[in-house]
Amino acid sequence: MTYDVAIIGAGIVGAACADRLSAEGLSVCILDSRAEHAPATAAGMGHIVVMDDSEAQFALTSYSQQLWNELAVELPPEAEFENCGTLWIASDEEEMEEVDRKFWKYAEIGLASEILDERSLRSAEPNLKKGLSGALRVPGDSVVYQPVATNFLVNRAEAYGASVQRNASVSMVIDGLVETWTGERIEAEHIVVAAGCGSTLLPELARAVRPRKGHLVITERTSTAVNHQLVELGYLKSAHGTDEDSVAFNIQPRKTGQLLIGSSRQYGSNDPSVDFEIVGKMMKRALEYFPSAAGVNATRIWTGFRPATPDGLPYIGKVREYDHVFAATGHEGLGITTSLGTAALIADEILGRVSAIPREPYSPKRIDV
Amino acid sequence: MSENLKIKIDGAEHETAAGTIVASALLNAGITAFRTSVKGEPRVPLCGMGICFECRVTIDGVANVRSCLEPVCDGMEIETGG
Amino acid sequence: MADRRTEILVIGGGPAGLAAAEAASSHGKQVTVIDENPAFGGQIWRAEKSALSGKAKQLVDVLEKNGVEMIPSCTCVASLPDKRILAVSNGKSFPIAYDKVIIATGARERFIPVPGWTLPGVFGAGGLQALVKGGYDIGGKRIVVAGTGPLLLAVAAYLKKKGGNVLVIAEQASAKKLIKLGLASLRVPGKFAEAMKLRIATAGIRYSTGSVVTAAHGSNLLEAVAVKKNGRTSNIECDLLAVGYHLTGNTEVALLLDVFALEGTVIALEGQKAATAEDFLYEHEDIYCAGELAGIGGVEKSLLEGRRAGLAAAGVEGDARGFAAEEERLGRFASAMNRTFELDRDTLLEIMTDDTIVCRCEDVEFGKIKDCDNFIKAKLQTRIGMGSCQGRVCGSACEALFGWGTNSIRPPIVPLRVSELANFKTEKD
Repeated sequence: MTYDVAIIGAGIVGAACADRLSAEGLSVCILDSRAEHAPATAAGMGHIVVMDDSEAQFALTSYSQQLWNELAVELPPEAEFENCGTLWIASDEEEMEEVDRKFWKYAEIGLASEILDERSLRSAEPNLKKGLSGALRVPGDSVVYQPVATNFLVNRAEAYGASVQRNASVSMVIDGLVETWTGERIEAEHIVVAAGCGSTLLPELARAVRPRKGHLVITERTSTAVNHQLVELGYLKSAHGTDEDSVAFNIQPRKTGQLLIGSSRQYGSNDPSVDFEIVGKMMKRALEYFPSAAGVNATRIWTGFRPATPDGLPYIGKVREYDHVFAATGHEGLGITTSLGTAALIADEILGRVSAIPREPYSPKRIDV
Repeated sequence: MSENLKIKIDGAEHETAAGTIVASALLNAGITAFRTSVKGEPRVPLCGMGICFECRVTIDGVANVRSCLEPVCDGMEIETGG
Repeated sequence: MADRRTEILVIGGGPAGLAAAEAASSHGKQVTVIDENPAFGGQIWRAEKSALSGKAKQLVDVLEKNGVEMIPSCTCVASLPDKRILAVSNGKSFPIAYDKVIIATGARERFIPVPGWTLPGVFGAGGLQALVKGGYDIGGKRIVVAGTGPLLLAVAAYLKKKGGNVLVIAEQASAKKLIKLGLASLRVPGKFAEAMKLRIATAGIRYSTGSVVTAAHGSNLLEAVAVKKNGRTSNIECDLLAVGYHLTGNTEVALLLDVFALEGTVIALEGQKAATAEDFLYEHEDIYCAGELAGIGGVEKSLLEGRRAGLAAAGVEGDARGFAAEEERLGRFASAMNRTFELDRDTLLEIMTDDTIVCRCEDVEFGKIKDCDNFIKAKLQTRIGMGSCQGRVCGSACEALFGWGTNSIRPPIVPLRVSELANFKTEKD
């Protein structure tokens, strides 16, 4: 048979696309190279966050967040969706100016936020170190346990009639046809490549998508309270914006009482093993902001590879040199947040509709030739 | 090795022979909840050899120590049930 | 300060590790042995009250004379680049650099969940023995010893000697299988005599073959154990249940070092060099495995393999040959033993109820995982294996119940304080 859409990749972006497109009545086939989990999705933090590094990022993240809030009521409790909000922490007066700028920026689109001074930050998060300047509280942000959310989306797509093929590693994509390494051919009118770092199977994307390694540390259950997702604003000034290896303070409270501690960014490595040097730097940074974590036991450390793009925006939409092949990749560290927005944009483009936000900024046609 | 050591279990003083493993001392003291499980069940050691982590207690203020791998020391303070 | 450095690092100080260290150090190599326990000797030579047993002491004395560095209460928690491990002792972490590493981490009991097995009063068979050796007083307690494997007799004999009232040994293997094994043991000197000695030591205790524990009962403490034989279930009132289902290798360190493992056994080739995950057809240059994790087979096999790995790592290849006949005989007995104590999946599945806890760290029940297709999926969807033990208990249970491979281990393989991770520093020279 010929499917309406073949989706390559069953991570959260592929799963969201499959869910959306099959809900629209299209016949969908999802292919994934793994037996079970998509590695980048499983490795992520599950922070659903509005970001404003650029206008386009702001539009996609805030639109996606709305879609998450609609989905949240349908998610199973094991998805641990929790509307805990984000605190963007300012350690000095310069960063407080950024808090102010962010506040007005968010207000422009009616997104609620609140400026916390030193004292109200202390009462909101008593375990943070003393002497921080303040924070921006964004109450609309949430966290989710994304492996369960992804599974929910895949299962729902299947319930709508989508077909899921595991252990199907794609070797080639041309208009109308996907071929696997075992020689299986799947015909589909539209093809969506949502394979994270593996999306480089399209030569066009191989020019632009680079793996950016990250580490996360999870702790045992602890009574050390964290009430919001805590992120340092200094990450804007840190090397996260450059090609250098970098770490930034980021702690997520899990519903289990565990703490998920990040983050690191490294280009140029394909080695999935844990780099204790950078983990050491990450933990040092974390303890500078959150000294109470010192005595908490870390139980597991893992790595993942974010699909990063040169301009920090994902590739969503039709790929040059093809008529019906679409990219849905390059989300770097925002794949969980923007998965639902991405799926909506892809569905709109395939069905020839106008989208809720302009699609053009994410078009892969911007990739340098 | 008949020398006896004084330890505190949940605040109460106990005497125990030198060389005794903390987990064994706790069982002798009648402790039936070394730790409380995620769903609230009391747990005691299963494996006795550092594998199962069921014997975790707080020893001298350090949480989540496997008590089956620690010999008792004089003056050791142990807290259970966490 | 430069990293700690050694020519040959031995991880695990049981019979295999000690024999390896002896062989290598006797040929002039600089050797370091680390062991997670406060005393060397491993599980089989565990002495009472944290002391050294006679057999362990004999070897440890030689090692001390040979200048071997011995670090007790020291765990390998991670693998580092450039042939180094991250070790932790008393809460402090430090790298150890090596030229060659011998992994001799031994075995643990395999646990099979049954309804009620999380009740206080239920222990592993070897588990209860270890706790009694650690000073747990079981005088007068009514005990059921159950499960499968040669360990049950030894445990029952020891518990009886320490004043325990052992009511029954419930062995799941059939009488027919056990007789076959008894005949096989005649071909290995000492094995048959050892078994006879244990049978005499357990005289008066009922040895019930073909018997499976199907539940542990009690409200807050164990009160009774249900044992099924020939389709009939009887409830035995008791204070303690000591239950273990033979052994499975401690493969975590090997997995960290990328050694290929299958069903609780690492794939080790000639001279016990380990095969790595990348290509398990080729032996790895610098990693050797010895003892129970290279296949359950008892102390003689461990000593032999340890010695052989120690010689091979020391580069004394000539001496490493000539073990073949002995190795083959022990290997044959090991296979016969492991076949005898194999578990029947259908019997085990029959015992499970949907609310039987499989993962004790995260309290994940059988009903939640039974429809998953593999361990990774179950892990991501239900949290099984995500607790502190990282699947050491539920992983081998899932292997027995579902045939799932569970080679998923993440560093640190033993929890480590965030402050220690933050202190990580290393100098490569």
